Amino acid sequence: MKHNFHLRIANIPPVSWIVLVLFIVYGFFAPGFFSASNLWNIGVQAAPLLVLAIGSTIVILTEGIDLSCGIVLGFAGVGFALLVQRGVPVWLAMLGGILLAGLCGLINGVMVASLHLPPFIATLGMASVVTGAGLISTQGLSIAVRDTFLDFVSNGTLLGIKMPILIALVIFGGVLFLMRYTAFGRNIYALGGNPEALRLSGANSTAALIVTYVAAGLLAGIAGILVASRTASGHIASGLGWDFDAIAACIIGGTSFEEGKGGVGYTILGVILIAVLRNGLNVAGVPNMYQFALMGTVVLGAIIFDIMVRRLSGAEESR
Amino acid sequence: MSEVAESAGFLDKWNGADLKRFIGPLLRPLGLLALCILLSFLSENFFTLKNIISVLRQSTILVVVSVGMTVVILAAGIDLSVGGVMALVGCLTSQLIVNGMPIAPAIVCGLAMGIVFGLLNGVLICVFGLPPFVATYGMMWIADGLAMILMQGKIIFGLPDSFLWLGSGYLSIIPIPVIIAVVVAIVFHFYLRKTVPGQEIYALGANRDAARYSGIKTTKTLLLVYSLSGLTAAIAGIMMTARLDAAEEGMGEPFTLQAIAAVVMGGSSLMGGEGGIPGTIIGALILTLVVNGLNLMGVSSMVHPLVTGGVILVAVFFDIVTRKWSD
Repeated sequence: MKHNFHLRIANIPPVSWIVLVLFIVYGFFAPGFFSASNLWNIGVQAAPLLVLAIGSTIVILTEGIDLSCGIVLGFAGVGFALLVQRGVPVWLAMLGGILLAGLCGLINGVMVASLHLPPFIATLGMASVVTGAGLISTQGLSIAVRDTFLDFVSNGTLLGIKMPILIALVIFGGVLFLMRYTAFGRNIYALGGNPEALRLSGANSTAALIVTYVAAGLLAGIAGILVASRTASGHIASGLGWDFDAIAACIIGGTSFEEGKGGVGYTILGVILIAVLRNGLNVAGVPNMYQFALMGTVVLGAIIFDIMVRRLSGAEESR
Repeated sequence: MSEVAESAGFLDKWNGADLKRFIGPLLRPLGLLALCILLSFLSENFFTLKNIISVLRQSTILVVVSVGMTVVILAAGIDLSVGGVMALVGCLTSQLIVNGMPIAPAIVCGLAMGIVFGLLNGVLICVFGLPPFVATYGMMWIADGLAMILMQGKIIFGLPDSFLWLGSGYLSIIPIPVIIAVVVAIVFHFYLRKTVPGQEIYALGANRDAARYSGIKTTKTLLLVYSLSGLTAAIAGIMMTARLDAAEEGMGEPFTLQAIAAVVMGGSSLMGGEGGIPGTIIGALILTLVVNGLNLMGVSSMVHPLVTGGVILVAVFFDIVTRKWSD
């Protein structure tokens, strides 16, 4: 029993301690951080990042990477806004935006799985292509959208929970279920751990890999719709830099680039860390221009801390 | 008579593999030539000395960043921070000059900043074991953020003429940036091909474990590799600032992907250990010509990312296909 408890503690990713310390530090230095409205705020801000990071996690589990997800997020918003502008019903336009992002994921998947391009090059190239497509279709402008349904998605409450948080949590739960109990999840872990075994077991590993990237694209699309709803607009650059946050959230949450280790579960901790960091900086009144460098440093620092702690505990175990 | 027989015998000895080995290295220069011919149809001014010099001048910044990127890719790494470092160094150097520092020390500070960022990349990768694209991607955001802080949302322009000379001066008819790019390329080419540390970079990229067992200090070599990339990014950033007579945060951004594209189009393998500077220069020239051609056709600059992205994807795809074909 005691041993079991010890193991549980050891299994908590080191990031949890950082989150805890951050909460305490912000509690001291940023008055108003612990107010109910601010905590809701953190949740609402974290929701799209959580959805995006879930997509990044499943891709990283296959030993891949999706550097296009941030731009695809913005692209889904642009597609959605343009469809609304052309008189398409809002819910249908949302679906359209998400499918557009899924299409980007499909192209990524085909490039990686069928054409054997290195994932980071394929998705980086894709990011550039999508940036161009987004700029051309909007002339680089932000497309405004006004609708009551949008207000509901971005600010409404259902069952006492704000909609973006609810949507993100439902998706989180859904993907967690898929990863645990279905072939979808098993294939993803096999792709990262031992693709050869997956192929020999009769599963179509190419198709499984493509499906993974499509899922990541769809998730980026949903995140894009959440962002577009909150800002009531579609802009191609709205997800700029989010890919880094999403990847960082995965790594901090313990998903590694080697052999499909990790999972969607702890990614939520990485997301909370990043959301709390950003929110705390805002509440503490740090100017926007300082936040870029600070966030980059802190996130890299968190990754390093995580790697060092794991190394140390790994050394302890092997002793 | 005997001559004919001899040449027939000579041809007999040629099998498919030889043919591929013969044509392979020629493919890229031929592609460059084909592109030039295509462009000369698009614009009658293309094959004038003035335009050729102007294209060369346009390509110089990309050539310099790509040279450093080549070194990193040869070592089986990647550097996604070069665009951020270019902007940061440009902003730092011009900020120092505007605030009264003489030009030479300001440039030295800029170059030092580039090397520091390269070293940090190397430390994150070698010491902490981060995957190269995560480490350098993170450093890109830090460089961008520092540039933002340095500039406080402003643009610097109206730099002194002696600084601008680096970007727009001429030595008789040869632009100064062309001279800088040629010198950088030659130095790096000889370093990679003719010196022991250069050859160690190839060995490291081809097989890291084998390199370590054969006594190469892999950590030291990798630190050097990323520092060199930081240095060339810094040189390119200074050249860009001098050329534009302006420094602005985010101005180096498109160069990261373009540099990778130039290296891959130049035939260096992303798996490391294969390729070199001459190919990269051809790749950079092709990319510059493509952009030049788009401008000649009057295409909006918003299309550039689309084209760059498309070009890199096609280039990597062809690289993989031709590698399979020649195996």
